[in-house]
Amino acid sequence: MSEETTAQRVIRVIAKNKKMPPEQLSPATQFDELEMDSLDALNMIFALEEEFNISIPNEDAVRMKSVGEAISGVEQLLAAPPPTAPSPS
Amino acid sequence: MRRVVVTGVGVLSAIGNNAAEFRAGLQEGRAGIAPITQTDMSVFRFRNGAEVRGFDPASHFTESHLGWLDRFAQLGLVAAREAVADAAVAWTDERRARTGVITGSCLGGITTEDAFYFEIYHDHRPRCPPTAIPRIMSNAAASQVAMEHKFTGATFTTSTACSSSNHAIGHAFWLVRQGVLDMAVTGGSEAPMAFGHLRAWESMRVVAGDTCRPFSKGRTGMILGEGGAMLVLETLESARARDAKIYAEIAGFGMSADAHHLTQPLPEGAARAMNAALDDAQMARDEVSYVNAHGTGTQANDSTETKALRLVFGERAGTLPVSSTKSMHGHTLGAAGALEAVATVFALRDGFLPPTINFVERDPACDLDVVPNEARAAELESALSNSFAFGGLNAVLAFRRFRG
Repeated sequence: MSEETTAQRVIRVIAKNKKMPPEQLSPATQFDELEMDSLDALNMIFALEEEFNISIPNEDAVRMKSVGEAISGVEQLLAAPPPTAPSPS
Repeated sequence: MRRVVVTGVGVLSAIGNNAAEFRAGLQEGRAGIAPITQTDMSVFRFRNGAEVRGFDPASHFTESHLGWLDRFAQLGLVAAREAVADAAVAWTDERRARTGVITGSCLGGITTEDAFYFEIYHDHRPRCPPTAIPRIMSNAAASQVAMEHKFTGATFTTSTACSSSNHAIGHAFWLVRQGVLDMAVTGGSEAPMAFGHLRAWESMRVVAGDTCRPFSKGRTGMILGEGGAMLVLETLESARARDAKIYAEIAGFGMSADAHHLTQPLPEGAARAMNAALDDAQMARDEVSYVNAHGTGTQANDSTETKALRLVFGERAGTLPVSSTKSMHGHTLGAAGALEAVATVFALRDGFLPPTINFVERDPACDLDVVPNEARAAELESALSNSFAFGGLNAVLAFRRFRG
């Protein structure tokens, strides 16, 4: 079995979040089409952060308006991981 | 002035998962106190609590809805559904716009908060789900009830520790009486069985190791409980116009602050709240035939409440039936006033005195008729329901039997 690509992982997370089959999603899918409200979007961002163990800054989050933009946003963050938030001692 | 009546009730409690079971529990003197199951209690000085048993959230809510609901909001929503169904109102948009939801909660979504903080502090999890804030906020139950039933009138939540629900019901009553609202769904819910929160109670040293024995000699404290209870209030005119069944009249509300001590109650403060409720109801002291006591089972509360009852009722306090239903359903904190309002309404309508169970022996410092251990049949005219909170905030409701 070939390793899952970043794009496939993003699609899997979004599909699980929206409770829909991943086959119905492609990079061209706009979040507007998925009837995603602001809280759904927050949940999706949270799920992507959990999946990739990254912190998605607000300015990147608001730019993610499609599956493709989510994939490229995640890829950029994985290429240059920002410092993780400090946890309390 | 508009008269206000109760036309619907809903309850989830340790002695019954709906209003009819709750009423039967009060009449039977059912014991709802048992070992706490939601938290590992092996390291605590106390083990027992009054949990809602057999409550399956998945049978009441969809999976996606549950993601937004702490247990306290679930209990409030299910109790409100029962109360609204019970009131059997023919809803119109106009009526919904004149209906508000006013709830009490001391702790809000404490079990959600406790679990997420554990993950953040203990597991060093770097983030918290976005559902956390809307689950934790104390007004979650009120907002969820309003959203579910599309009630768009004045809606808010009061948080005054153990008086939260009485403050909520009292304000709902006043808003309906004043004409700000025509109907209100009001009450409260609480789900306090979170590890960190129970640790905090443990250090207060007011939770009993065995059970809750209000007003009894040898009492060792309160027992924490969870639950939700809601009442539908509306004007008498509206209830008559739609030929609604009427449980009782809510006749008065009184509040006071001890302004004395955070945890040590003052008889004068409690008495002022009872007097204020009686004055608001234009109810004579002699008319009162039952008091649903705050009756937590702590040394301080029960002797202080006895002194307060003496201040209000004089010698008659010795023979006036006063009981603490917390001995059965536990102390549900911000939901206490709501559960006890429903208990009082049933007592008035069905003519019985709910007992104070687990009563062992009379305490000279609590020389009252506490209806020990067994319910009694009695024709009741009027009743008070007391709530006295940590922080010295007192709230008392006055109810009258409704004779049509």
